[in-house]
Amino acid sequence: MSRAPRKLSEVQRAFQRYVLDGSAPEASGLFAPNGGAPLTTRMGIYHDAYRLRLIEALRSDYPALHHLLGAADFEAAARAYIDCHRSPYHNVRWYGGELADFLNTTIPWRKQPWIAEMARFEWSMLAAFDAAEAEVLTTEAMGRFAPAEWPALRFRAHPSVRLLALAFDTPALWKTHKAGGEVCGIEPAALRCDWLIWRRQRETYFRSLPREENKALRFLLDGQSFAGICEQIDDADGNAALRAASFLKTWISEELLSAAAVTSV
Amino acid sequence: MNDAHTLGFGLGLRPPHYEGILQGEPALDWLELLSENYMVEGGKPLYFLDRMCERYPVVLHGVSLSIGSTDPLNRDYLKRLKSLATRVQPRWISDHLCWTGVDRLNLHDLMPLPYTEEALRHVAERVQAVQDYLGSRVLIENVSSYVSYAHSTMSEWEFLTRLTEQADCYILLDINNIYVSAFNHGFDPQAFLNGIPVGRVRQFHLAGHTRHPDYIVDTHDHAIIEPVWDLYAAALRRFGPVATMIERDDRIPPLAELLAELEHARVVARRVLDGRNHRETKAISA
Repeated sequence: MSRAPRKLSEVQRAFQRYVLDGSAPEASGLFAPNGGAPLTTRMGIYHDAYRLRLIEALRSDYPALHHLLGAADFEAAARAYIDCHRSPYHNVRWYGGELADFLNTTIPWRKQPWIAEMARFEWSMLAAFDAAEAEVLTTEAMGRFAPAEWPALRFRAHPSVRLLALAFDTPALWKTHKAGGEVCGIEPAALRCDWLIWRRQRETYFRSLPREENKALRFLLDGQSFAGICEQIDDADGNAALRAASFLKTWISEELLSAAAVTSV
Repeated sequence: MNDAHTLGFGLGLRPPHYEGILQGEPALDWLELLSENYMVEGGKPLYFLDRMCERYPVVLHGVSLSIGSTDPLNRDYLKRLKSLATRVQPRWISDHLCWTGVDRLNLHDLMPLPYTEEALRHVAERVQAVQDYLGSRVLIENVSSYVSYAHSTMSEWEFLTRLTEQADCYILLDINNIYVSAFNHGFDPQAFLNGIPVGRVRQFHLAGHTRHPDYIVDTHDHAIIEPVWDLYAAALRRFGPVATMIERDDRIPPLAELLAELEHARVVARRVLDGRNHRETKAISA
């Protein structure tokens, strides 16, 4: 047995190595053999609790993914993630942020890409859920801009707004889960579509985005002016500005935007 | 923030009870909020936080201060904690006598410290630094533990007592944690209570746990058991009226069930404190 450290920093490092890897031979020498249960059992409580707590955090962040995979497969995926993702976060809320990337690149999950997609969808929903508060741009506020100012208007989206390009009908599967339906082992329909996720008041919403609207919204988020957005819309029928104004009206009524200003960037 | 320590009887606020508390406005004297749950930018958590603070006195209880870690104090965490405190104006802020990780990692667990002079100096300095930064004295809570260090040179209660003297902080005494650690390490829980100075205890935690044949795990997922109620009564006899709350973290029952458990705490406290006052009156008149 390796000699157990006594210096506080070394004690903590050895104990932490044991919790993370289960393999710090010097750790067992740290502890007194008192108490009813064997030392290996008592040390094992910390080793197990670390994993169980993180599995629980992931299960809480990804309820539909948990349901889709089933409890045993979800736990296997979570344990694999935990084995290669240590937490630098003071809040466990942020621990699961790389799960979608992990599932997308790791066998066996990467062979079923809708699994990573569900993780990406749920993480985006969570991001919208507790994103920062912001003012909501109103029709009245827009009325204060003179028509001549409109081409130079730029907009700020609500901090909760997320755009996602999905390859499967993951939102429908999520809705089935939310409604209490069975989703375990179901492969969603292949359906390439762009999606919008945002929070309105305190509720999180999502909806699909038609191709042209998606394009216009992406330009708005990139900081393009209203004139710039109009330029990106197909004007074969001569109604590009009208359609852009119509999108804007919808986004304002859905509370997607938080500010507008005349700028000349 | 102030030092008033007779807040009465409260609950640890958990999201499943948000609506029930706001709609029913139950007879709670105060709420304990988990600091980390509200270190987010917006949305429902902060909405409910503000509504609760309009209705009840609150205290902040954290799990990530990592006061015993040999890593530098996490300034980002402290900044967020101070900003949260400015928002909710808590009666006090508490965290645990533990470390949660080193080398910038977080194990998300309350890891026990060795009870040595080196650890005491280290923790006392950090508690003082935290109090200076926050501008108020903090409460430090005893944790449940499953291992004890071979090189400890003092008991947990001696360490905690000397910490309060050196750092001039207060104690959050978790009655269940005393019971769990006493069982796991084979010490007398009454000796723990007797070793803690009366004037330093500002809050009690009560909770349930999971019993295995030869050890207990502090799971906070069951009702409080009778021996823990007995230990609570013993704590009341020693420390007098101290703000008491029930902490449930898993298998969270309906609000009514926790309120009934809290009512039992009131009954125990009345019985013990009435008896204590009666004895004191008799002693004065004798």
